Amino acid sequence: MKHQPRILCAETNPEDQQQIAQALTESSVRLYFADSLDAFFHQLEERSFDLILTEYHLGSSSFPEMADKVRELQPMVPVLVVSSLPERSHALPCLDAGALDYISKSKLFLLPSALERAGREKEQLRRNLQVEEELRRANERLRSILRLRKSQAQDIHKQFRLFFDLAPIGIIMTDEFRNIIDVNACVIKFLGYSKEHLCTLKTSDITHPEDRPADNVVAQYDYSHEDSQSNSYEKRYIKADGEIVWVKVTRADFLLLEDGKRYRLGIVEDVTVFKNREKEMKEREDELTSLLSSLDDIIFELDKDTRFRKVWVSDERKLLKPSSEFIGQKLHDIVPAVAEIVEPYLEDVFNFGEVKELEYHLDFGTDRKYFFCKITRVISKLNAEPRISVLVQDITRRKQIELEVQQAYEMEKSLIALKSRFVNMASHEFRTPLAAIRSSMDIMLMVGGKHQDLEEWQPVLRHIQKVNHEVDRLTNLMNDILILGKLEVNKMPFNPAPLAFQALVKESIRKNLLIYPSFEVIRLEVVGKEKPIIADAVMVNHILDNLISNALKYSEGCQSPVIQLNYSSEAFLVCIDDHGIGIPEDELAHLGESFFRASNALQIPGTGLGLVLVDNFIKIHKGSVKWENKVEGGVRVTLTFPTKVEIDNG
Amino acid sequence: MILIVEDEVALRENMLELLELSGFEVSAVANGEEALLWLEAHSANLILCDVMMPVLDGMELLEKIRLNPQWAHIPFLFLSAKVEKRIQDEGLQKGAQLYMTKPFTHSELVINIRKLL
Repeated sequence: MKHQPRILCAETNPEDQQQIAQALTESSVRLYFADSLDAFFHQLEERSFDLILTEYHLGSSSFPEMADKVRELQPMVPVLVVSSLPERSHALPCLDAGALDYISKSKLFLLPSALERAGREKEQLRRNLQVEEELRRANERLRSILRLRKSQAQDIHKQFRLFFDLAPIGIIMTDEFRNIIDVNACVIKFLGYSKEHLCTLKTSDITHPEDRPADNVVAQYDYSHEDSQSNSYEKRYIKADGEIVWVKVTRADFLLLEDGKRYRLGIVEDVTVFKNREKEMKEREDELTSLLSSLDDIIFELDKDTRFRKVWVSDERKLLKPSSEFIGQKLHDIVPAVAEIVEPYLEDVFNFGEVKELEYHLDFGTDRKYFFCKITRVISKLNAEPRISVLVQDITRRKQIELEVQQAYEMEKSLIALKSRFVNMASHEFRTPLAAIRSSMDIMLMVGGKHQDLEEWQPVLRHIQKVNHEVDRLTNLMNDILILGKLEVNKMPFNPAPLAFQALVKESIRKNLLIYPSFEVIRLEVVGKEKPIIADAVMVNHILDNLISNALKYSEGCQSPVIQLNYSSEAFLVCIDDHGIGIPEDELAHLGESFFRASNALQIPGTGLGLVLVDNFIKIHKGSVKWENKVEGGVRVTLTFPTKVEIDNG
Repeated sequence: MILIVEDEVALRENMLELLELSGFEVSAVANGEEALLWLEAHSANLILCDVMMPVLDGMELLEKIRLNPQWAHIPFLFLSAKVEKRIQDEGLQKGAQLYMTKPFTHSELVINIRKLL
């Protein structure tokens, strides 16, 4: 059964109610009447209607005044105002207040068609509402999709941030003016600036001044991201502490659609180590090259077929032709003479890595030149193919010097032999004639002694004594020369043994006092507890005899000398103090030189060899001897014997 | 009787004269070989001998004398220009009683001879 539209009619006049009902008899509708404002609202609250008919005035209210309430109670229901009031002044306010139509009571016949129109209107309104609802839902879906997208975008941003912050490589983000916008932890750690500080700087501020111009060249933006090679470059950064570091920067430029601005990401790698190594390598190569070219030598490298690979030479004139023409040529074709000498060794050098050193000579006309040649196998890491390096040195000059030295050495040797023979002869062959002279003098003394009373005998006796004295002098000289000769050829026997030094000193004093009878005594002082001194007895005796006799000899008529033995210090010290004529200060340094005699001692007999022997003997004992003039006059000789003698058997 | 063995004529004659003047009975020969011949015919109380001599030197003479029981007891005194301790030691080791080096004084020679006689 078809739905019967329900119509609420607010009409206070029963007659008018009847006329309206009559006007709608043809239309199949159910008509409800409300005869007061209260009844009208009551009905609107009670049930829903498909159409509302109302007078202009209902009780005290006009339709424009109550329209809001009507729409509130039944929002979708069309309202027709049916009024006896003139249409001209009342219709418009009603339409403005939401009424669908204004029908004069005198034209109630229009009511059915208005009713029909209202029905259509309502249908249209319903459809509109439906469309509106669909639109609203679509909108809702769209919003939820947007929300999802936004959260996804936030996730991606978070992930990027995480990567950005934790990446083990430095990342710097700048704007198109190269202001630093963001840096990651790696950059902060590497450069030492705070993030806040960096974000107030431009990348050029932390770039080494020398690299800034080059930096500008690569400042052009490139969004293609294709040529990654040209997007990488090396430059120096200045760290917060002022240190300069080399970095490799790989940049990526991009345009951010959100704000339409251009940005640049720079991936920063610390390449200082590589740069330094590269620099070192270059320096080393440079050094090596300059070293090689500063040498007088020729160095060349051969491959296994003896073809030249490289040639180093300080002066190309040393070669037969420019070194460049050697390359690729066989050794034999360039220098056959050298090839003949070198080639027999090449196989062993090449196969077994042996190093061959040889000397050879080449004759250039009458000019003979000597060469040293070193052949070595070269294996470098980068070049798997082994090569042979040949170093050639011109040693002609050295050979000449060697020859001269050899000749000088031979000469020296024969001179030494001659001297040795002379020393030997002098110290042996003179002895027998001296013995003959001496014995002749003794015979003369014995024979002449019988005529002692004769006046003529006295000068003869004086001369005999003179000859004897000179024979003694000569004998002493020969003894000293013999020892010196042995010292010079290291043939002096050295037999260190524990010695009772004090007893040796006493014995020497005794002997010397016999020779110099004008002295009665030599005082001997001992400091510290006596202990055996390791030394060679022969040498020690010689030293003591010599020094004590000197002390007496040069103190004739003066106070007697004093000798002190000191056992208390680390080394054993022997100190001989005389009160004699002393030694001129500027001549002290010459004591110990062969045949040197002090200028104030020329009238006093002496060979000038005694102190040379003392000096040598003390040196053999690794001790020392010191001569000094005393302020009060006389000489102090101090001998130092190390107590732990290292045996040096000369 | 003292036998002097010395190749140098001047010294040999001097020693002969000096020792005779000093009251000794002395004979003199020029080398070891002659000394051996002399010893065959005479007897000596002391031999005063040089080291370096032609034909037969002092060391060889000493060896031969010490090997001969007839002469082995004769005191032997070297009087030599060889001053090296090594050679002195060698002479003493071979049986010489004393080793004196040239040149010598009359008094030290006489003192040593008296010691050995």
